[in-house]
Amino acid sequence: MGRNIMILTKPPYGCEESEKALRMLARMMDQGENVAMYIVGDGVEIAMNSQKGDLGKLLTELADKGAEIYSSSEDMEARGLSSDKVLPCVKPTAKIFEEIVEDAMERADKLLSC
Amino acid sequence: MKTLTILLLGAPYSSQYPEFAVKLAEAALDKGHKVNIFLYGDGVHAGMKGQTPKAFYNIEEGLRAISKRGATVLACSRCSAARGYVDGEFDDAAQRYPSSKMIDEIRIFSLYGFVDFIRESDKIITLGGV
Repeated sequence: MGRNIMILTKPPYGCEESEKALRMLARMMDQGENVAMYIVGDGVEIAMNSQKGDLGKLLTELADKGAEIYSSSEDMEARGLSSDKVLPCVKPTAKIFEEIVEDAMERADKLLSC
Repeated sequence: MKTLTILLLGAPYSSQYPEFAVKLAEAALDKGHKVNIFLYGDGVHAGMKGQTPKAFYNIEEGLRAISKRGATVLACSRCSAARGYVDGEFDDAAQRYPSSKMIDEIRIFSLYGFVDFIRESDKIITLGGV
Protein backbone atom coordinates (compact mmCIF):
# COMPACT_ATOMS: atom_id res chain seq x y z
CA MET A 1 0.00 0.00 0.00
CA GLY A 2 0.98 3.65 -0.19
CA ARG A 3 3.16 5.85 1.95
CA ASN A 4 1.28 8.68 3.64
CA ILE A 5 2.88 11.71 5.30
CA MET A 6 1.11 13.67 8.01
CA ILE A 7 2.48 17.09 8.97
CA LEU A 8 1.10 17.77 12.44
CA THR A 9 1.11 21.42 13.54
CA LYS A 10 -1.77 21.76 15.99
CA PRO A 11 -1.35 21.54 19.81
CA PRO A 12 -2.65 18.23 21.25
CA TYR A 13 -5.09 19.51 23.84
CA GLY A 14 -6.01 22.97 22.52
CA CYS A 15 -8.21 21.60 19.76
CA GLU A 16 -9.42 18.25 18.48
CA GLU A 17 -7.44 18.03 15.23
CA SER A 18 -4.47 16.11 16.67
CA GLU A 19 -6.70 13.45 18.16
CA LYS A 20 -8.72 13.15 14.95
CA ALA A 21 -5.48 12.88 12.95
CA LEU A 22 -4.08 10.12 15.21
CA ARG A 23 -7.29 8.09 15.08
CA MET A 24 -7.56 8.47 11.30
CA LEU A 25 -3.93 7.42 10.79
CA ALA A 26 -4.46 4.37 13.02
CA ARG A 27 -7.44 3.32 10.89
CA MET A 28 -5.39 3.89 7.73
CA MET A 29 -2.65 1.63 9.10
CA ASP A 30 -5.24 -1.02 9.96
CA GLN A 31 -6.07 -0.98 6.23
CA GLY A 32 -2.44 -1.59 5.35
CA GLU A 33 -1.30 1.99 4.69
CA ASN A 34 2.23 3.08 5.56
CA VAL A 35 2.43 6.27 7.69
CA ALA A 36 5.13 8.78 8.59
CA MET A 37 4.34 11.72 10.85
CA TYR A 38 6.32 14.97 10.99
CA ILE A 39 5.53 17.14 14.02
CA VAL A 40 6.33 20.87 13.94
CA GLY A 41 5.39 24.05 15.80
CA ASP A 42 2.90 23.70 18.66
CA GLY A 43 2.29 20.10 17.58
CA VAL A 44 5.49 19.05 19.42
CA GLU A 45 3.67 19.20 22.77
CA ILE A 46 2.21 15.81 21.85
CA ALA A 47 5.69 14.31 22.34
CA MET A 48 5.83 15.10 26.11
CA ASN A 49 6.32 11.95 28.18
CA SER A 50 4.78 13.49 31.33
CA GLN A 51 1.34 14.18 29.81
CA LYS A 52 -1.65 12.69 31.63
CA GLY A 53 -4.03 12.94 28.64
CA ASP A 54 -4.55 10.09 26.16
CA LEU A 55 -2.86 11.49 23.07
CA GLY A 56 0.65 10.35 24.03
CA LYS A 57 -0.74 6.81 24.31
CA LEU A 58 -2.43 7.11 20.92
CA LEU A 59 0.87 8.29 19.44
CA THR A 60 2.73 5.34 20.98
CA GLU A 61 0.08 2.91 19.67
CA LEU A 62 0.54 4.39 16.20
CA ALA A 63 4.30 3.87 16.45
CA ASP A 64 3.72 0.29 17.65
CA LYS A 65 1.75 -0.32 14.45
CA GLY A 66 4.85 0.76 12.53
CA ALA A 67 4.38 4.49 11.99
CA GLU A 68 7.54 6.61 11.85
CA ILE A 69 7.25 9.66 14.13
CA TYR A 70 9.61 12.60 13.68
CA SER A 71 9.48 15.82 15.68
CA SER A 72 11.32 19.10 15.08
CA SER A 73 14.14 19.32 17.64
CA GLU A 74 14.35 23.08 17.03
CA ASP A 75 10.65 23.56 17.90
CA MET A 76 10.94 21.24 20.93
CA GLU A 77 13.97 23.12 22.28
CA ALA A 78 12.15 26.45 21.77
CA ARG A 79 9.43 25.13 24.10
CA GLY A 80 11.80 23.67 26.69
CA LEU A 81 11.17 20.06 25.65
CA SER A 82 14.57 18.45 26.15
CA SER A 83 15.22 14.89 24.91
CA ASP A 84 14.71 13.38 28.41
CA LYS A 85 11.12 14.70 28.38
CA VAL A 86 10.15 13.06 25.08
CA LEU A 87 8.21 9.83 24.46
CA PRO A 88 10.49 6.99 23.27
CA CYS A 89 8.48 6.53 20.05
CA VAL A 90 9.36 10.06 18.89
CA LYS A 91 12.55 10.78 16.95
CA PRO A 92 13.77 14.36 17.52
CA THR A 93 14.84 15.60 14.10
CA ALA A 94 17.00 18.56 13.12
CA LYS A 95 16.33 20.31 9.77
CA ILE A 96 12.88 18.72 9.67
CA PHE A 97 11.74 20.71 6.61
CA GLU A 98 14.56 19.14 4.57
CA GLU A 99 13.37 15.72 5.74
CA ILE A 100 9.76 16.56 4.85
CA VAL A 101 10.70 17.75 1.35
CA GLU A 102 12.90 14.68 0.75
CA ASP A 103 10.12 12.31 1.85
CA ALA A 104 7.30 14.25 0.16
CA MET A 105 8.99 14.53 -3.23
CA GLU A 106 10.80 11.16 -3.42
CA ARG A 107 8.93 8.57 -1.34
CA ALA A 108 5.42 9.61 -0.29
CA ASP A 109 2.27 8.92 -2.26
CA LYS A 110 -0.01 11.24 -0.28
CA LEU A 111 0.54 14.36 1.84
CA LEU A 112 -1.76 15.23 4.71
CA SER A 113 -1.58 18.08 7.22
CA CYS A 114 -3.40 19.31 10.27
CA MET B 1 13.37 18.20 -10.58
CA LYS B 2 9.81 18.00 -9.32
CA THR B 3 7.25 20.67 -8.48
CA LEU B 4 5.98 21.39 -4.98
CA THR B 5 3.00 23.68 -4.39
CA ILE B 6 2.26 25.10 -0.95
CA LEU B 7 -1.25 26.36 -0.24
CA LEU B 8 -0.86 28.86 2.61
CA LEU B 9 -4.02 29.70 4.57
CA GLY B 10 -2.51 30.85 7.88
CA ALA B 11 -1.79 34.50 8.66
CA PRO B 12 1.68 35.70 9.67
CA TYR B 13 2.49 36.22 13.38
CA SER B 14 -0.89 34.93 14.62
CA SER B 15 0.26 31.54 13.29
CA GLN B 16 3.58 29.91 12.39
CA TYR B 17 2.30 28.65 9.02
CA PRO B 18 3.88 31.35 6.81
CA GLU B 19 7.23 30.59 8.48
CA PHE B 20 6.74 26.85 7.80
CA ALA B 21 5.87 27.67 4.18
CA VAL B 22 9.05 29.70 3.66
CA LYS B 23 11.23 27.03 5.33
CA LEU B 24 9.65 24.25 3.25
CA ALA B 25 10.15 26.33 0.11
CA GLU B 26 13.82 26.94 0.99
CA ALA B 27 14.37 23.22 1.59
CA ALA B 28 12.71 22.32 -1.72
CA LEU B 29 14.71 24.96 -3.64
CA ASP B 30 17.91 23.63 -2.01
CA LYS B 31 17.10 20.22 -3.49
CA GLY B 32 16.52 21.70 -6.94
CA HIS B 33 12.73 21.48 -7.02
CA LYS B 34 10.38 24.04 -8.51
CA VAL B 35 8.27 25.77 -5.86
CA ASN B 36 4.88 27.48 -6.07
CA ILE B 37 3.10 29.18 -3.17
CA PHE B 38 -0.54 30.23 -3.30
CA LEU B 39 -1.67 32.65 -0.60
CA TYR B 40 -5.31 32.10 0.24
CA GLY B 41 -7.64 33.58 2.86
CA ASP B 42 -5.68 35.22 5.69
CA GLY B 43 -2.53 33.79 4.08
CA VAL B 44 -2.50 36.85 1.78
CA HIS B 45 -1.34 39.00 4.73
CA ALA B 46 2.01 37.19 4.47
CA GLY B 47 2.69 39.34 1.38
CA MET B 48 2.10 42.74 2.99
CA LYS B 49 4.78 45.39 2.47
CA GLY B 50 6.71 46.87 5.38
CA GLN B 51 6.55 44.09 7.99
CA THR B 52 8.77 44.80 11.02
CA PRO B 53 8.32 41.98 13.56
CA LYS B 54 10.51 42.27 16.63
CA ALA B 55 10.49 38.75 18.09
CA PHE B 56 9.41 36.72 15.06
CA TYR B 57 10.86 35.54 11.77
CA ASN B 58 10.26 38.23 9.11
CA ILE B 59 7.86 36.66 6.59
CA GLU B 60 8.14 39.49 4.06
CA GLU B 61 11.92 39.00 3.85
CA GLY B 62 11.45 35.23 3.62
CA LEU B 63 9.01 35.52 0.72
CA ARG B 64 11.24 38.04 -1.08
CA ALA B 65 14.23 35.70 -0.69
CA ILE B 66 12.53 32.58 -2.05
CA SER B 67 11.02 34.61 -4.93
CA LYS B 68 14.52 35.78 -5.82
CA ARG B 69 15.56 32.12 -5.91
CA GLY B 70 12.80 31.32 -8.41
CA ALA B 71 9.74 30.40 -6.37
CA THR B 72 6.45 31.61 -7.88
CA VAL B 73 4.15 33.26 -5.34
CA LEU B 74 0.54 34.15 -6.16
CA ALA B 75 -2.09 35.68 -3.89
CA CYS B 76 -5.82 35.04 -4.33
CA SER B 77 -7.43 38.15 -5.86
CA ARG B 78 -10.78 37.86 -4.05
CA CYS B 79 -9.07 37.30 -0.69
CA SER B 80 -6.69 40.20 -1.37
CA ALA B 81 -9.49 42.52 -2.45
CA ALA B 82 -11.52 41.68 0.65
CA ARG B 83 -8.53 42.65 2.81
CA GLY B 84 -7.82 45.93 1.00
CA TYR B 85 -4.79 44.95 -1.08
CA VAL B 86 -6.23 45.53 -4.56
CA ASP B 87 -6.02 49.05 -6.02
CA GLY B 88 -7.79 48.61 -9.36
CA GLU B 89 -8.80 46.43 -12.31
CA PHE B 90 -6.78 43.47 -13.59
CA ASP B 91 -3.72 44.54 -15.60
CA ASP B 92 -3.68 42.29 -18.69
CA ALA B 93 -0.14 43.25 -19.70
CA ALA B 94 1.32 42.50 -16.26
CA GLN B 95 -1.08 39.58 -15.61
CA ARG B 96 -1.78 40.84 -12.09
CA TYR B 97 -4.05 43.08 -10.07
CA PRO B 98 -2.30 46.31 -9.06
CA SER B 99 -1.41 46.73 -5.39
CA SER B 100 0.59 49.32 -3.49
CA LYS B 101 0.40 47.26 -0.28
CA MET B 102 1.54 43.84 -1.51
CA ILE B 103 5.24 43.21 -2.23
CA ASP B 104 6.03 43.25 -5.97
CA GLU B 105 7.41 39.70 -5.84
CA ILE B 106 3.86 38.44 -5.32
CA ARG B 107 1.31 38.56 -8.13
CA ILE B 108 -2.33 38.99 -7.11
CA PHE B 109 -4.19 36.64 -9.43
CA SER B 110 -7.45 34.69 -9.66
CA LEU B 111 -8.02 31.25 -8.16
CA TYR B 112 -7.30 29.83 -11.64
CA GLY B 113 -3.68 30.41 -10.74
CA PHE B 114 -4.04 27.74 -8.08
CA VAL B 115 -5.76 25.44 -10.58
CA ASP B 116 -2.69 25.77 -12.82
CA PHE B 117 -0.44 25.06 -9.82
CA ILE B 118 -2.40 21.85 -9.12
CA ARG B 119 -2.00 20.76 -12.76
CA GLU B 120 1.76 21.21 -12.79
CA SER B 121 2.54 19.94 -9.27
CA ASP B 122 3.86 16.57 -8.16
CA LYS B 123 2.86 17.29 -4.56
CA ILE B 124 0.73 19.87 -2.73
CA ILE B 125 1.02 20.75 0.95
CA THR B 126 -1.69 22.73 2.73
CA LEU B 127 -0.61 24.84 5.71
CA GLY B 128 -3.08 26.48 8.06
CA GLY B 129 -6.81 26.82 7.93
CA VAL B 130 -9.39 25.91 10.55
